[in-house]
Amino acid sequence: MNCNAFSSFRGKTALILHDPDRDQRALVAQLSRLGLIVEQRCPTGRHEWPQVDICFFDADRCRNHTFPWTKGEPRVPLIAIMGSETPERIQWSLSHGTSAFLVKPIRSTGTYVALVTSIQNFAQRKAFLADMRELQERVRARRLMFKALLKLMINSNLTDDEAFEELRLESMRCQVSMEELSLTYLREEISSYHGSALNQAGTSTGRSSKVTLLASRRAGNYSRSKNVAS
Amino acid sequence: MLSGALLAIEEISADASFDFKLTPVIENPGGSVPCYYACCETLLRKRGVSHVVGCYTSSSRKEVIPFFERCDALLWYPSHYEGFECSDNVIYVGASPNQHIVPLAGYLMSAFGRRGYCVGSNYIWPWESTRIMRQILEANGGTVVAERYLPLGVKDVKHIIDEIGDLEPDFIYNSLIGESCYAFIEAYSAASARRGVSGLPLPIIASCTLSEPELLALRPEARGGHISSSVYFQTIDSAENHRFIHRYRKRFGSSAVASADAEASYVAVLLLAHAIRRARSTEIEAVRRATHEFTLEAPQGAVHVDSENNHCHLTPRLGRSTKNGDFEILYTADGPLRPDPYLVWFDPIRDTRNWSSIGQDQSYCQWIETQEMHR
Repeated sequence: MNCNAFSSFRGKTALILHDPDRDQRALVAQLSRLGLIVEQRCPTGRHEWPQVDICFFDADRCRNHTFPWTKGEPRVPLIAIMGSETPERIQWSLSHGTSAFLVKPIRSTGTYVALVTSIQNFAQRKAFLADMRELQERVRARRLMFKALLKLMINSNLTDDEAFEELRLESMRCQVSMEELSLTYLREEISSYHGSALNQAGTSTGRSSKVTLLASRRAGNYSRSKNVAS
Repeated sequence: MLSGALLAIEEISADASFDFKLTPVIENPGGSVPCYYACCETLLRKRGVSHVVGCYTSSSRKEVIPFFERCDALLWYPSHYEGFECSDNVIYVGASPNQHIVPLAGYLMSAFGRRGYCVGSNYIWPWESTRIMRQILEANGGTVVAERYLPLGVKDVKHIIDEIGDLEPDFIYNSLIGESCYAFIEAYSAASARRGVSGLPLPIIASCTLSEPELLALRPEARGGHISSSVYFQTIDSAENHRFIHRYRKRFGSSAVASADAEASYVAVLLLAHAIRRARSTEIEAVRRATHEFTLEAPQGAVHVDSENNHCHLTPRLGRSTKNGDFEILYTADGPLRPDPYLVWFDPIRDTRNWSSIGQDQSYCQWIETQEMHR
């Protein structure tokens, strides 16, 4: 949802985990005005989790088992409804990945800004986590890439820059990351030493075969160009 | 606003069908935002008032709403506004954005083009109404070529007019208020007339705020040809409006000029009185509930308070100002439109292309000719 777009909440479903009282009624009325469809559940009960786009929860009444996901990794934006504004409840809510707060008594004012804030924060956090996971993977794969470069330098008699360029161009051609290509290349190199089992695993895709062929061909090309240069 | 409210109070008090009289208690904050809070404190805490008709600017309304919510009193807000608000302690009698900004944007795009220049005073209403205008234009492939804000009361507008001349937009969306608005329109009209001798005049000015008393504050040569979007114009041709204008002039003088704000204040008091009579109480919750239960035949037409959001169902209209300080009505919606303060049900493409029965392919001139023929 784009907070700048018109009708950003129309047809979205909000789950409210709150006992029926004046605050809950005020929240339901305001969410309906904003075009949301509202589902309500008891904050302490164990119930089937419905398909919703956003969740409001009573921070004083919810417990660790309330959310059906790993702590701190919410699948939908969470808005904590704060009764007792104590450091412990704030910290508890934050530890569960809350992306906005709504302070009691609930009035018509405040709900809209909490919705926009939570959706924006949730989207940012999700994008940030995805980027972080990708970077972590790439950091882990650095060692593999280093090994692949080394193999390519030795097998094809290339400098480190030439080997890197070879790997980069090939990854672009095959439309895979350099890390992924390095893994494939290493598997095939390994397979040539260690027999048929790894060979089959390594050449199970067309992409892997192309890598091997190209690496061999380019090795020849590089040798020739080196000779010409010398 | 005060005149409209006083007229309604006097009418209710003189009407035998009401078994109570209304007594006006007047406080004047003088347009100073911090004074609104003090005035409301006096009214609600010291003078025992529980229903207040008032506030014009959004800044003043937002200043007092928390106090009304704390005291559980009801503010009857008689001005059009930018939406994105819905307090249970306010009855919004003026137009919501879907009732005035949206029709204006649809009309401007179909009649003049999709390149708008926005100029306004530096506060909530211009910021938010311009945002809505910008998003409608952009959703329809148009653009805001520039967005400029002037401090309240500033009259130096030469740089704005120079920039408009350079950028050549299709229309001007004007959300300036008060003295800045008058200074801008007068300087703009003069500049446009000068250009008209050697080239094309400057583009048309459109707004949701320009009203009849403001036109009269302008020099006659600057009054004509501006577009205004409003649910009320003094020139509405209906028996109810003729009666209203007659009573208004009888009470405030033959030269008295009514406006959307005067009419909305008048309507606000009538709604309050009818709700009190229906609820048999002045208690807030009872009055609020009763407000949703009837439709009032107002000078502008049927008015009804929506039970979901406490805003009024009103009839959108577009007018073009004339040199004698009135508005020639160009467009009237088929009937009252449900208020949509958060623009939840609004589609910026669908609802601005088919905003009226007038086909989008008809040029402005053809359309005006059609209007002339029908008159």
